[in-house]
Amino acid sequence: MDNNAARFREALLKIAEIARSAAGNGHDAHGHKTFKGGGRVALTCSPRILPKRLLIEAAKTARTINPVNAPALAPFAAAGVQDPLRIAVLTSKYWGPSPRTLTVSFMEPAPDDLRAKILQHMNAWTDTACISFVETQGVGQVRISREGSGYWSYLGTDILHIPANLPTMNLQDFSMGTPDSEYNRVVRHETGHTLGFPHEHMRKDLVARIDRDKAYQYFSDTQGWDKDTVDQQVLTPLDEQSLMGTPADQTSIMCYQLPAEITVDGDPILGGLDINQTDYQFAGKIYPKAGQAVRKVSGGAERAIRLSEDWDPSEDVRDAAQLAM
Amino acid sequence: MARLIDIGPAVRPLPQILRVRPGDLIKFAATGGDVKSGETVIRRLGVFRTSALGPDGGVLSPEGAPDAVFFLVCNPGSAVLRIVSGDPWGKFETNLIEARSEA
Repeated sequence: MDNNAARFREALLKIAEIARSAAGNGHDAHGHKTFKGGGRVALTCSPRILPKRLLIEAAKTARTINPVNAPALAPFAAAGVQDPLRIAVLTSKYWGPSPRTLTVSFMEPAPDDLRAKILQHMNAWTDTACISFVETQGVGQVRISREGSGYWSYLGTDILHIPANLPTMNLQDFSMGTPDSEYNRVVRHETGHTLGFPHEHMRKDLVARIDRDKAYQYFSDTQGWDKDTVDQQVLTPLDEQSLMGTPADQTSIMCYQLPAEITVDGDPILGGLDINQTDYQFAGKIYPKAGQAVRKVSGGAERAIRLSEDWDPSEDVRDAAQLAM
Repeated sequence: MARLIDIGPAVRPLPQILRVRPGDLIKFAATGGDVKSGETVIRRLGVFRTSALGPDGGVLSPEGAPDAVFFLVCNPGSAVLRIVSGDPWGKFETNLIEARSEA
């Protein structure tokens, strides 16, 4: 198609669009449904999906607007899976800025006081964040086991994809006899994962402080880990744009302790013993409670997912993140 | 028939002696471990992270340390296994287990 023909086609399409809009064809210029009669009497809103060519860009936008929207890439990078389209699809662990209550159940019988104590520590995050946790007698969205091995949790909205007969969080052997300091350190840390926060010790700045050879030796000696496991667990930094919007914070509750003997500078990476002020501020920023500003979370991202199904690529908005600033 | 021997986190203390046969597969609920002696008798297959099948056949992995170590019994003889459990970033414990493999 030559330029004249293309311009002619474009003009015809615009005329047709205006005509449809004037005749009240059921959609306005933004793809919103309208009732017959022409005017926008009422709207029904249905989510639309961006064209495939924009998925990567949309993911970047989501990440720019809210850093936690970026996926934790380390395991995929290690496996050589770095297809940008795949990464874009994976960008979905953030719960969103609206207040939300997640239901919690326990996989095994647990005494009332223990269940209440675990819930109390999970809800420590709600001091500043709009996500809270409430026990249900049914099958919770968060399902806690104390009989599996170790401490772990699935990340953010991933918990919704875990089969209902499996736990989403494990707190091995937690009991009323477990010291309060461990509730602060472990339960709040694992709940941070449920909120979508990855490990802070995988931040580039902190990983850079680790002497690789010493780390290999240390974890071989203490855990029997091979180099691949050490790489995956300790030495592969997350994409710096994927995490907290704060400088790397070695006292974050999401940061593990690492001993001085494996650092370049001879100082330990302290690790978080409880939710610190920066954690609280960050949680409050991305999960704002009523009355707090939702700056940078509304606007661009919502606009991006409300656009209609497809359009000419030349009309693509390339700096969507700027719209939210 | 070869056996899958699943030694879960509730098995504490761990046995000091484990009697197995060539072909057996041993799974320990542990954050780490290796073969201290007798590598021709027992081979460590690796340390693993329990994961779940997600939508569309994808696999979802939780954030956390490894939680399983697998060993394969290859030959008759004796081996010493080191099993590490607990929290690699905090308190953990190490156990040595003698595995006796008899055909």
